Amino acid sequence: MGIRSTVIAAAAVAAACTASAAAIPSRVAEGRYVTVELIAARQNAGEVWAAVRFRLDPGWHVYWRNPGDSGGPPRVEWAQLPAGWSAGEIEWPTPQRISVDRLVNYGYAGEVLLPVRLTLPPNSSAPRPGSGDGAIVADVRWIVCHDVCVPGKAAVGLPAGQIAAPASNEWAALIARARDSVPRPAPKSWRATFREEPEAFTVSILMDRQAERGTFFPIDESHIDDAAPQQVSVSENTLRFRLRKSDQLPATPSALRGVVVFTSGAAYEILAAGINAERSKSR
Amino acid sequence: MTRTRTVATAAMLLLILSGLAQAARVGEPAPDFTGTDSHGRTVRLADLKGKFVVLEWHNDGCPYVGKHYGSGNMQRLQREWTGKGVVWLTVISSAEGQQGYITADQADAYFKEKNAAQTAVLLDPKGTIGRMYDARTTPHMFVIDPKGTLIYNGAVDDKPTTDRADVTGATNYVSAALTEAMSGKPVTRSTSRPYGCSVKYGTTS
Repeated sequence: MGIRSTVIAAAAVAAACTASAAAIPSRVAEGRYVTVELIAARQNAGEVWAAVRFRLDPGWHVYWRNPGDSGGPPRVEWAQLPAGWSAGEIEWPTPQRISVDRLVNYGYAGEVLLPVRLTLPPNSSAPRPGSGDGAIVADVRWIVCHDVCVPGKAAVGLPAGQIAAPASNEWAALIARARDSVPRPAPKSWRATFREEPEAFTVSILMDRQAERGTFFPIDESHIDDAAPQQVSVSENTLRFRLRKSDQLPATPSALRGVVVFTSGAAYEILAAGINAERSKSR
Repeated sequence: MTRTRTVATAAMLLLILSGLAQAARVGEPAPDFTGTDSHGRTVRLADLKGKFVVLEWHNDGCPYVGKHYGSGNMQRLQREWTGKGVVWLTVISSAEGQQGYITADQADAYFKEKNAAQTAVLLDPKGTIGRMYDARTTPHMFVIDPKGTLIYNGAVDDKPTTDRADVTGATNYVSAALTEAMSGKPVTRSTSRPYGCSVKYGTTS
């Protein structure tokens, strides 16, 4: 399958590059060890969302925004959007810790959808979903890894008119589920701080209820040693992580950004302010 | 994952990490190693005092390595810096049977075909040097100053992709570190996230 699908993917890319803007590449691209697909649908509240869907062969993974020790995240560029439309950033679903030998990566196995909100202009002269005008086309680049890694790229597209087509009911559900798996911002009442030690950062999260255990996923690269075990403790409403510093830490950060995934599966994005940094500032 | 397995994994990691605790920190003495190059010669870091040394982790099957060799970027760097007296050591820590593993004869033919210009190729199939430095990716770059102090640990450059076109316009951290250190300046960017494929160490030990 490998060579043939590469040829097909390459042909899709070539077609997208040489054809006029009116040509729309295939919605689905077969890469090596991965199928890449573009879907889009209306969501509740009338918002229009697109998603790039990766379906991976068993044992293969793609990466989160911070890939961890190796690899790199998929990249999506919008080659075509109907006039007046704009695309937001990828909203990254909650990743998994993936151990490869003695390294740890953050990413996705099996299947993942990367949702992106599309903003339509308020004036109605612009193409609307279902009107038949315009297309959305994404240039997608990725690297998939098992024990070895294979990069790929493809252009995938669909006519804007398909957004309201019957198939998009299924797409709407897929996108809604993907958006549900994106970490929520931490409740405003929580207080997250970190303290720096010579070898580690201790992140404390004071919650508005009995704390539960979880896993910390650093959003910024090279802050913590991804492969080091996380020391997790819970005391009443406080969840604490002791995280070994990265050997590549450039300088003490003013804040540590991360996603906390609780054992219940709930995930929140937190921003921990540096306690030491605050003190030295006020001095 | 079950709780028992999590605990067991954590315990195992702790064991591994205790051996790595002081792996290769910028500003500290670079871990001394003795290795064998593709001509069967012994290479000892301690013997290279007085010279700048670059360590470059390599795996010929890794697309991130392919970006830098396919574009000629790595060979250009090797030529430029060995021309200025730097000892450039390409280290291969892939275990036998793993991607990137190469014999001495294969290594010579392969790097000749690539028009590479490193000082020597160290064959490290047991991963001894790799683990000493906690080399995580291919490529992963280290720069050691003439006193034997590690002055850079990280990526080749600031474009963590596999696209050859990204070599143009990238900020090369290895060149920047060598340029600054050679003119007696502190290295501005002394660490970065090494980007690439995982080093294909053997599964045991």
